[in-house]
Amino acid sequence: MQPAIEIKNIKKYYKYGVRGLLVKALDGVSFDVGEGEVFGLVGPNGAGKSTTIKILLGLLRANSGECRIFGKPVSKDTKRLVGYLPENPYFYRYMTGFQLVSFYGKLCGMPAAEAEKSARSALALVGLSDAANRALALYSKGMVQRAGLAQAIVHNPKLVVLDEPASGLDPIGTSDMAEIVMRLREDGKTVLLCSHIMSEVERLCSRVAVLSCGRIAATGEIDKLLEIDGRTRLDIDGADADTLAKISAYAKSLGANVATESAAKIPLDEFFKKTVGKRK
Amino acid sequence: MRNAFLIAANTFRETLGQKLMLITALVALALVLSSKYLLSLDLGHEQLKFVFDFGSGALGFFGSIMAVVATCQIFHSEMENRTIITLFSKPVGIAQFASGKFLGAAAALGLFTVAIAAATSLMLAITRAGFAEAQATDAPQVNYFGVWIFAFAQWIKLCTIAAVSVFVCSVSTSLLFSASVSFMALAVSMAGEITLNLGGETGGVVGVVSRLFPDLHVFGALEPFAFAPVNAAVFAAAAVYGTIYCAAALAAAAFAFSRREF
Repeated sequence: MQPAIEIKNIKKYYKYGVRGLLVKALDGVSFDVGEGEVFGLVGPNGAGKSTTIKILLGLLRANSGECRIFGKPVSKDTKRLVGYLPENPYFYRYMTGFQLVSFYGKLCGMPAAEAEKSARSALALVGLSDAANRALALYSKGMVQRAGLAQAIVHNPKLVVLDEPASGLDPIGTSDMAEIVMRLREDGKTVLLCSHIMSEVERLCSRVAVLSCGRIAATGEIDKLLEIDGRTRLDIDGADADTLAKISAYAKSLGANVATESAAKIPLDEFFKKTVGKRK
Repeated sequence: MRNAFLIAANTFRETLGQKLMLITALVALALVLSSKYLLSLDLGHEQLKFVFDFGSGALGFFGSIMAVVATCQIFHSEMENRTIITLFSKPVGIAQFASGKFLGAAAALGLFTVAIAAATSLMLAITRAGFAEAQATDAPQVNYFGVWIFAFAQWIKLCTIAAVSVFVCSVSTSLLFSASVSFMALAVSMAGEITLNLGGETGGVVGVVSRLFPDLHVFGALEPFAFAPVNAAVFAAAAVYGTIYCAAALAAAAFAFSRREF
């Protein structure tokens, strides 16, 4: 099957200062994203994630290398296939959510009536139906982020690029965003997710590329990358200290070793969601 | 072209929401509407000329300020607010963006021109109606059609000034720089207009400069239309010149902008 994204040996330098000193941003980055897959692009600040995304969207030109979307070089035509949620999105504050999303739908070539219908569906998907006719100036940060996601999917793109989609969102907003990404995956969309929140990437993505200093430091299936060689985790319910000691002794008798033993915990964001969710 | 019109409609709306533009337009309108009452001297039928000059001056002076400031503001706000990133992630071309921004500014300037032309026509009618019988006989006939043709030509002039600002914005990264350079270009054009009004030559350096910067003298030639028959050839020359200049400036802006990255 043809990959949704093919990035081959991309190099990008930024010119700096009056003398035009070159600063290396990407140094031979290569990776593929399969169709229908949720792919994570992670890395520290300044690693080159946003530069990679901007090259993919044609907002920046690579100095060398090749970038293809569904087999075609990046162009105006490929942009129709892509929906993009920028990091910390900022939109026209005087527009309502509905006006904004239908405006972007029309820019993608949709007829006015279709763009408006699609805008209503996209806003419903991100949970903004009630606020659709409210000016963006009155939206909270989380609502702007949702509106940003709605404009990214309004034209029914095959590939959705999300740059820090959970940036500034509370755990409930983050969880909602994750649910929307999962729904996109169920709809057969390819998602490129760029995030600092590792738990989010781990939960949503099947494969990941780790960028560091403009290079790919690691890439592959998340489960394989995170696997500890020869170690298996067991979660046991209803075992007291005595039972655990017996299990440990039995494992030892079989030649295995219990490496760590601690009480099972739920992730903090899940605890937050449960606690705050109860009060709402 | 559809995307250019979508961007233009959005830009038009954004321009109307700018407080500075609104205040400038209201001040210009108030000045024109008070033109008859600002003059304490009795100029006789020359008062008509005074009222028209007031309208024409307001259109030129405040319109030029609006053309430069509004165009620079709407262009740079897209970059400073980073809305341009979302816009260019959609299938929007550089030329569509530049022409959309220009058309939006041109529409706002058109609205301003209509308001000032209507106010000027109204004040001319009120002034003429207030003349005594003898004064009315001596007074020149106001050619209201000519007033509107003149206003239309002034709108084209404002569009050429806006087109220069679009070009400046396409190569600049700061609003202050763009506005300053655009005003400098306007000053050069106005100096050229004065030179030509005084019978100056258009050869040599002046010739080169008058080809690079908008030739405002072409539009000033329509001023007599307010009290004389409309000369179609003079109007056509101004309209064709303005259209070609705007198209050339926008093409240059699109080329310069295509070199940029976001």
